[in-house]
Parts: sequence; structure tokens; C-alpha cells
Amino acid sequence: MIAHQSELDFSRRDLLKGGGALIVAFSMAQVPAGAALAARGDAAVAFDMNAIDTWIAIHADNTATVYIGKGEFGQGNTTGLLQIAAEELDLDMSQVRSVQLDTNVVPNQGATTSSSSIERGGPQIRAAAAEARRALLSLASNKLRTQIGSLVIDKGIVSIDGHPTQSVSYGALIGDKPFNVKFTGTAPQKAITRYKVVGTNVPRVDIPAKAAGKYTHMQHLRVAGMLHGRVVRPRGQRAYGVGAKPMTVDEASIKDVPARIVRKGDFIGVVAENEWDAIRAARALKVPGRKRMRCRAMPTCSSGCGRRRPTTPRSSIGAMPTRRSNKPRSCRPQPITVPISRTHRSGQTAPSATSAPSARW
Amino acid sequence: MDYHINVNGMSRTVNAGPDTPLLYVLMNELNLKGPRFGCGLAQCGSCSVLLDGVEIRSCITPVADVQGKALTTLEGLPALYAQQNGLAQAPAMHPLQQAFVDVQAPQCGYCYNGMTIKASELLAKTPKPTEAQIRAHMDGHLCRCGTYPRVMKAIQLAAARMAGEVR
Repeated sequence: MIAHQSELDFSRRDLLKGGGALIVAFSMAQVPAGAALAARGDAAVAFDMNAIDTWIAIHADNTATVYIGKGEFGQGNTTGLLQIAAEELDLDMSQVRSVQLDTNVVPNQGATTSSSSIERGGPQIRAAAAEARRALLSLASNKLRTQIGSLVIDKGIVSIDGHPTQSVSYGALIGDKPFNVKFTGTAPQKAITRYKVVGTNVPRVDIPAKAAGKYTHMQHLRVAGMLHGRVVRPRGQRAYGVGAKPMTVDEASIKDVPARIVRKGDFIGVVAENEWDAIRAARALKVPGRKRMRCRAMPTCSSGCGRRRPTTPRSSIGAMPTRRSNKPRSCRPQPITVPISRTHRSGQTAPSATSAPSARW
Repeated sequence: MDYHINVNGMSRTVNAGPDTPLLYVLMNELNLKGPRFGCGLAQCGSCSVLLDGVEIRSCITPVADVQGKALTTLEGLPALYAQQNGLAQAPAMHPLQQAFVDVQAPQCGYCYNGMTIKASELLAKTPKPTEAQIRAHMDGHLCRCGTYPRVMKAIQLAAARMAGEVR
């Protein structure tokens, strides 16, 4: 842990510097065998999206690690993308795996949204796997002293067509060594009619770790020097600081809690070494706020949005004579001066388990 | 202050304030991945652990209240199962966990800590529960992915396997 809280700067940059890898989403707890992963990557250098090594590593045991830059939230995209990779590489599902989604380790495939992992991420993985297959065939061609066209592949074993004993495995060709090959853009992709893996129903690769309690959900990530934080909103403030604005922050209200206040404009949070301290501080911190301006002279929308409710039927507006005296009087917005505070309500206790709402059981 | 708690058969000494909910001790001091924060209000069940075999919500249970009692988290479930059934060695997974894998039940998997803990509590006392008993017992464990039908299927499969009816 960091010893001197006063020296802390809570920027993301420093978090990155201090903590090394920042893992940004749900992740796979399956770590590949061998040291290939450990030697991989530094956040200071962006991955070359057109290099095979960015996407795929072949291991000496004739398996492959596919570096997937999409989050796995239970939608099964890891399994689907691995199927795509296995298909192009002529491997079976037992020979492919992925790694924890880690910005130091995997390429940035963009946001994981809109059911687009397969649609947008799939072609990238497919292209990379086809390029890797092409490069492996090239190596095998040299090794077996024959043309690429007369080679066939089954489960990562490359052999001369019709001569199954004359063969070499992916692992023997390049196991745990980098390809150092860029995409050619000409690697042939398998015809869909020849698919063996894609389109079949395979077990999801993330489920065993999830059932066993060994899966690392984002909430379990702990990095060196990490602090726990909680956002504190003045009552009435919504996301992105919309709504109530904080007027002051009453630091004395959390003087008994070992936590620090973080403020950037209207954003207020607390950080602490201990998670419970962060929670306690967020509950106790008094942040008197001020609601948005609203017109007090006119009747307002009953939903409390502060907007004036039309008092004249809209259909007759055009027919009404415009007279100054009919205009709203004193409609200059007035601030509400009642301070509203985000404080822990004393006596508030969590409901007991027996009062929990019913699930759809 | 220091608390001596028994977690998964091991005596552990942890330093925490007396009002600290057990969940934060298990997650942050003992680095367990089973119990996890869902709602913090005992409403969802993702933080569940067994206290002397009875499911409790660790997010609202002060650490001071569990001293001198046996805590079992998801990590300790296979060993507890072995103990309950007189097995010499703990299996890799509790039959429920294996059933969850076999019926491909979890999606995000976040609630499965509670699902497994709660269902194990049921099967320890009621080896062959009816569907209605399962529903009544599991009430109060929420799954936002909506995997309830497969949770039901897995519990029934695990019960049948534990009774030796199917493999």
C-alpha cells in the first residue's frame, strides 16, 4: 500500500504508473501456460494491429493463445471468438485459450457494446488467425521441403497431403517464439462450407472458472497501491454532475475516517486505503448542494422538473391578443436556497434478508 | 482491532473496525473471490456465505458477529461437502458447481456465489427437494442475466447425482 496519502495524486495516469496493468473489464481467469505472456507488452507502446504477434501466440505444446480485446460479460463472445480463431488455425477448441482482458496484453478492439463482438471483432480475429496459419504453412513448407499447396493441417499438425508421417506441429515450428510477421493481406480465409468449429455448439470457456469461484470479476481486481473510492453526490445530483451543484464540502464531517476527499469541479469523491472507510466516508461526507435554477413565480410541472406548465390551451395561443400584462410576472429564475446535503441518514439500517424482494423463481 | 475468525476450516486473524461488514474482510483482507458485493443491502445474495451451515449475507454482517463460528465461502464448499458426506478427499467441485458447468448455467456468473451457497444449504438438509421447495428456498437470490431456469435444472441435476440416481 502507499504509505503517505498526502502525496497521492489520483489521476488515472498515476494509477497506471503505480499499478502497472490496469485491467478494465470482466476477464478470463485462464492464464496460458509458459512464460510467453509474461514477456509480452508494455502499455507505453501501442500494439501493431497488423502484426500476428499482437493477436496470436503459438506455444510449444501445440496450443494457441488468442489475445482478445473484447470484454466477456457472460455473452459468450470469448468462446465465439476462440471458435473463429480455432477454425482458421485448424485447431480444435481444446487447443485455444484466451487471457485476461488487460490493456497491457491485448489489442484494443474497441468498445464491447451493441452485440458487436463477433460482427466487428470476429473479422479481426479471423484475419489474424488466417495470417498466422499462412505464416505457419510457410515455415512448414521450408521444414518439410515441399510447396505450401501440398500441405494439409489437422489440429495443428502440418503434413504433406497423402503422407501423414511427414509432418511437423505448430509447436515445433514456432512454439513460444514470436512470428515477427506483419499481415500480408493475402492470407486465404477458410471457405464457410469447410467450417468444422464455427457453427457448432461448444461449451462456454468461461463457465468452469465462474462455477468454481476462480474467475476474476472486475470487482476482485487488486493492483499495487490501489485505493478504494466512492463517488459522493449532493442530493439531487444526477450522473455527469447534472442537477444539484455542490456548494461546499464539509471536510470536518469525515474527520474521524481515514479517507481523503477528491474534487474536480462538481465531481466529488472520497478515497481510502480501506474499502469500508471509503464507504463510511462517502456516507458521512456533508456536501451541501444547490438545485438548478427554476422559476418560482409560475406554476410548475407536477413532476418537479421545474418547467412551466402551459396555462393556456396551445390551440388558442395564436388567437390570444398579446398583452404585456398577460406575460408571466417576475419569471426570473430564483435559486432555491435550501441546502441539500448528501449525508448518511442516521438510524438507517439495511433491510434484513427476509425482506428481500422475490426473484423470478 | 484484531478479530479471530474461522474461514473454510482455517483460523484467520484480521484487523478491522468492529462495524466492518464481513464481506470486505473476506474480499480485501483474505482475498477471496467467492463472496462479492452486489447491492450492499442484503437484497441480492451475491455476498452469501455459510455461518455454521446457515446462509447469511456477509455485506450486512459485522465481522465482530462471526467470531467463534465456522464460516464457509464458495472456496470452501468442496471441502464442506466432503466433510458432510464422509469423503476422505474433497472433490474439485461441489456437485452443484459441476452441475452449473454441465448445464451451462452462468452467464456473467456474478450471482453464482450466492446461488451455489444457498443451494448447498438446501441440499445438505433436503437431499431431494421438490421444485417448489427449490423455488421457496432460492427466493431472494437475484440473477440479472435471468438464468433461473438453468439454476433450477442444475440444482435438480446435482440432487439426482448426489442421490446416485444419475451420473
